[in-house]
Amino acid sequence: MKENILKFNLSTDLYPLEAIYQTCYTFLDRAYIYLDSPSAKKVLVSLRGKKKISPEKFKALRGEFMNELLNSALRLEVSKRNRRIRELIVGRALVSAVRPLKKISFKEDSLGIGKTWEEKYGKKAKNKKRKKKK
Amino acid sequence: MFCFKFNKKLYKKKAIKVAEKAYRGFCDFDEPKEDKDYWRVCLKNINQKTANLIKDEFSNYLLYLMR
Repeated sequence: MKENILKFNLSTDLYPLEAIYQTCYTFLDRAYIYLDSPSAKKVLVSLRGKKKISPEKFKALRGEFMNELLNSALRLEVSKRNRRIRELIVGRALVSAVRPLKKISFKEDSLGIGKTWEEKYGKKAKNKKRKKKK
Repeated sequence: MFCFKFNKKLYKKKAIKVAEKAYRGFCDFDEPKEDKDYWRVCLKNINQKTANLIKDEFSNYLLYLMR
């Protein structure tokens, strides 16, 4: 621990990169964070205190960081595992929110397609002519 | 001029450009250049003390953009 900086390595086999980013995000207000990759499956995390921090507090900060990292990794894993069921629930909710269409039966014949011309207009037309004559 | 590096595997060029745009009011930036496995970012027209602070704040903002 030099110049108010704490450095430690994380394995990307154990902690996914996304979880590392999420954890860093939660610590942005407490420390300056810099990431590097010394080898293929390792991430070097450098935490620099925004103010002068004692070694004990740095230890506590590292412990909190590791706990949060575990929490983020677990949340990510659970989210991956439940993805399909989450999509199904949302899909079902959206489908049930749509108003059902009114069912139209062909027997009702609301447009009068099945009627003849006489049935539709014949009597009415005759009645109208009679009324006009009167 | 004050330069620092960001690992290509961990930081995206697009995010660096966005952060540079946000910090343009504090100092001048060069286009991020490739330096083996790193993106090299250089600050201009800035003194050493302010540069360290800008570097720290810049890297935090960059991490926020990488989320």
